[in-house]
Amino acid sequence: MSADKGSLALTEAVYYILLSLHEPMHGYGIMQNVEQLSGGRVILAAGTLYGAISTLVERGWITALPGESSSRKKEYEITASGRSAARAELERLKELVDNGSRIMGGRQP
Amino acid sequence: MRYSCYKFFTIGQHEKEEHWLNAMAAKGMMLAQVGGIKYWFEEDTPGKYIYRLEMLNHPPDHPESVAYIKFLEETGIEVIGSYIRWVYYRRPAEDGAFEIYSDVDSKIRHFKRITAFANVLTIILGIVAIIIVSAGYQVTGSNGGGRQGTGLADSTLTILLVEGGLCTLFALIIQSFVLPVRKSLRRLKKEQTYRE
Repeated sequence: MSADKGSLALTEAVYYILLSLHEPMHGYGIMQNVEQLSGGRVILAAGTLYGAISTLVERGWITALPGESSSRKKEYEITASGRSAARAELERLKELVDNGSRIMGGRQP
Repeated sequence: MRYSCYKFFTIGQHEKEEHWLNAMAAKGMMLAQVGGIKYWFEEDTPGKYIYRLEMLNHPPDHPESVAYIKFLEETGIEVIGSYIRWVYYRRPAEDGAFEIYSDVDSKIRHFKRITAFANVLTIILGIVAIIIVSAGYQVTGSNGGGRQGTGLADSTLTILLVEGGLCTLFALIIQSFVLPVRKSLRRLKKEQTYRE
């Protein structure tokens, strides 16, 4: 588990899914939340999202909340290891931004 | 009013089929039901829906496919029907651009599913061809000894050889159908080296 922390970049979709699931959400909620968070830039397609959710559940970074009935939409939530993965990614992104700003000189008008 | 028409698409032509369905929708003809080469359309406001096709990992009635389709439906996607492993989806155009996949990885996985399906068909046809041809030689071998077969055995051998040849030909044709998919796959893999 610790070997993959910080060494490999998360995909944009995975990073935003992990951010979204800091509170319980179902699939469509994640799609809407990610679109809103990114100001409409990142639009997750349902097939891609489904694949990412399955992988993240398998990895133990998110978990499906026990639902009362099968008719209800399944909700997911981030786990402790998911939180540390997202945290490690945030550190990595900070490094990218810091180096970019240093070399290219911050925000251009 | 419901209209039906026949149109044939081979494996590897799903993007062409999708394009045709969206062109029909732009003219006000909405796909309402599918059945292999037969398509049923219903008239509606032109451009009301966007259509997409997907080949699933499993047959549509498999539990994994059922769970997946349920998930898609929860996001506002409507399932029109399915054929073998292909599922036909639509979503109102007013909900915005509609895609099943939004990253290179999942597009690659989908294309690989299609080429893998073609490969399985090719292998099956290849095995059938080998069985037929070897059966042909067994018939001639057991009938009158060696190459000096009877007239009956010779004609049987010819028929079986032709059948074996046809199987091999079909196998090659299927592979030629998916060549464009393999080409797209190579392009995506190249893209994957610098883009997510």
